Amino acid sequence: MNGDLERRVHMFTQEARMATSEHDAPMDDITGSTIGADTPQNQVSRRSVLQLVGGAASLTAIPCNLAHAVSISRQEAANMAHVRLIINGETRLLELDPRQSLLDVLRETLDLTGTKKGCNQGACGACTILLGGKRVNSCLTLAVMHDGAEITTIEGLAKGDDLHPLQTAFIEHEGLQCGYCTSGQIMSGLGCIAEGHAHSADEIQFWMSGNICRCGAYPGIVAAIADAAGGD
Amino acid sequence: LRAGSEPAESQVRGGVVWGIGAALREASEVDPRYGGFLNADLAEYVIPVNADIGSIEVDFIDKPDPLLNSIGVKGVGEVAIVGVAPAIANAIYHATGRRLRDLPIRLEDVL
Repeated sequence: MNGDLERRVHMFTQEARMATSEHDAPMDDITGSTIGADTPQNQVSRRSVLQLVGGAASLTAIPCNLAHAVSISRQEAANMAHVRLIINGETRLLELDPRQSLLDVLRETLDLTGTKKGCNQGACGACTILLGGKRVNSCLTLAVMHDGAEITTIEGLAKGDDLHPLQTAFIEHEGLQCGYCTSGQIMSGLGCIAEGHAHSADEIQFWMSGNICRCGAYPGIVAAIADAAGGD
Repeated sequence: LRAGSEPAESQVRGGVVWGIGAALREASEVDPRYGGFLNADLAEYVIPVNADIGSIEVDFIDKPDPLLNSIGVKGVGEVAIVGVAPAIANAIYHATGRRLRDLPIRLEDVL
């Protein structure tokens, strides 16, 4: 056990030494002035002293790094933005990092995990929500850009146990298999109907092509949207 | 799943969609220098979208197959992929006279 511990300490100090010597840190000056020039005789002792000093230095470096991290997060706290979002009819006052995507705010901050993160680059449509009544990929927009906006997510559709007609239609027409794309498909379907792009199967297929379904439930999705659009 | 049931049909439709993807769209492009995949994301690995799929009709020969196993059941889903690419390749041959044997078949292959 001791041997193992020693080896790990050795590796740790080696790493610390390499890192500091690269960046010309004060530690190198100390060891340099203490040990002096390299000669064949003092190579070994230099290394062992370096390991010792390196270990000590890296141990003391940990609290330093923590302090640094704390100061950064204070800095970040000063940059937090205050944003008001009306999500599924409920007004939420949020303090947000300006870099947070709307998707991350919904999922991580508000725990509305019905909206899915598929590709996080706007290619799959799994994160589709309604923003001011229009469908958008929530991964591609920053939450701070939408102060005062009305947002509808999949969680906002059902009234208690009563599903939205489009949700019911998705179940009836098998518009899903695994279900990962489904919340995006349903939100996109609502947008498609609201835009008036649901008059024929061809039209629905075209206007629903921003939402990928890897299970291949496309015919069911089209049938569900056509059904819900006809019923409204 | 029972043959002819909605979930079984749904499985086969999904298989057909995968077959269309394999026949006409999907390919992993490999960087010959380092062996990495060049299109390893959903934006660049092109899978079928809704507009790529027409209507799909699913029918089953609703009979048990005692030769495969004693209770006469079969899997459904992936097996539906198998026939799609040959069917599409045959249709392309019929329409253009080109006998194409590499997938995916893209526009440049029939020009």
